[in-house]
Amino acid sequence: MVAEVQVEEITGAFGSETFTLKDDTEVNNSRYYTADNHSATATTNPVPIPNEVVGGVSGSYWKTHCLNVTGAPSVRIENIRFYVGWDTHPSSQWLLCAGNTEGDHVIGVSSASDADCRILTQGFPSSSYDQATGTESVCGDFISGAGSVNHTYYNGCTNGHIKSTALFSTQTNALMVYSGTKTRNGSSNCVGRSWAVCTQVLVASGATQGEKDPVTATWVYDEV
Amino acid sequence: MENKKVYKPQVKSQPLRYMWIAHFEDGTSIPEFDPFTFEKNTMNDVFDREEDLIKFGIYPIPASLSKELNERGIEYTYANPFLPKYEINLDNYKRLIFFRRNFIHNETYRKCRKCGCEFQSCEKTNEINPSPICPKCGTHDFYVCTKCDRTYKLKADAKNNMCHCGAYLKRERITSGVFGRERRVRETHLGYQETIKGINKKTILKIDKNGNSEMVYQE
Repeated sequence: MVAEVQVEEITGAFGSETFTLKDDTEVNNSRYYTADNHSATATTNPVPIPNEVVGGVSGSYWKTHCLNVTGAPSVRIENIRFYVGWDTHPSSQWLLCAGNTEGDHVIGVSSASDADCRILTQGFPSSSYDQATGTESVCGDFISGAGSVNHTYYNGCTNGHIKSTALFSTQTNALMVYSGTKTRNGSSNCVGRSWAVCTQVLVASGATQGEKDPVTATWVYDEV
Repeated sequence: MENKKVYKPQVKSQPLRYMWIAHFEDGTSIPEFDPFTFEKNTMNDVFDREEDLIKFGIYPIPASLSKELNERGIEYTYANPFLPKYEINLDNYKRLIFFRRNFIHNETYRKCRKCGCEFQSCEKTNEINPSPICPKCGTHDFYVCTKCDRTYKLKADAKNNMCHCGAYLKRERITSGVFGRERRVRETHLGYQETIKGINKKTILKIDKNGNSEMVYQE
């Protein structure tokens, strides 16, 4: 059989994670909250817009997604990539700020250059999963940068930390989640969850409130 | 109105439409699916004899084979005899490139309840809680009085956001509902690489489910 692969969102504490299947059996979109919530439809805990006088940036709780290989490929799966199909830039398409680029939709990376992010592994292994934290209904902790609690894996990286997903918006410039190979070796030992990605919405003062336009997130993998 | 991106949905799942056959120097061949036993061979069987490989091709899966594979649960396939076949000759020390590239699109979209149009980005009404405007028919959410059923195009049209009869307004969601769906696409990549003057050069055909192909050169 060709490999059976599905997309999952991970929430909850490390060791007792909840894996939510993102297929089309029901509403499958992911929505950003100021809570560790995998619901596709909730309207509670939206991301507040920072006060225009005080300024600054507020963030959603970060979201973690991964691929789950439930049926092994004939030989191997390799080059797992991820991109978000922005038409322009998150800050303008979702109106996340006014006249600046602080508002954004970002993804955790471990390489400094954009080119390296497209060829070297940028995802993190399941053993480094870190539950999203923050103050519910107020602000999520940032993947990296300001805030006392960050994503342990990305904040610990020497390079990178976060980049805008606008840099990874098509197949040709997709983010490399895992550049290695998951090879079948006699048994179905290459089944299981792939390395994961961590994304977050940053909202700056002057943003426009309201539900944002849907965008498409795409996973790509090569199979032999 | 400025340029709108109208959403065009496609079928979710992609069955296998092509099967490969490897041809060897001694006249033998290995098909991906055995036509008699219907067992599946893997590319490892080909890689083991790569030095003897002279030709490699992908071919539309025959209807009879597709039926057997589906019924036996070996592989989910779809027979389309009108698909073109693709073959490459692996002479002059060319080395085979073959893999299937899979896309899983997690899509969210809006659907207009009036005209059925599906869309993603769009203009919105000028309100505190804006409503998406359908790029096809121009409609959007409106407001209905919970008591007298009077309708208002915008909440601002009602004084103090209340109906003239004093009752509250209920939002009738026409375009603001968000739906999700998964869409899968598979491309077959077939080609070869060869070393010319010390430089590894790749020539790859990207073939979609309809047999359309695009050639890519890489160094």
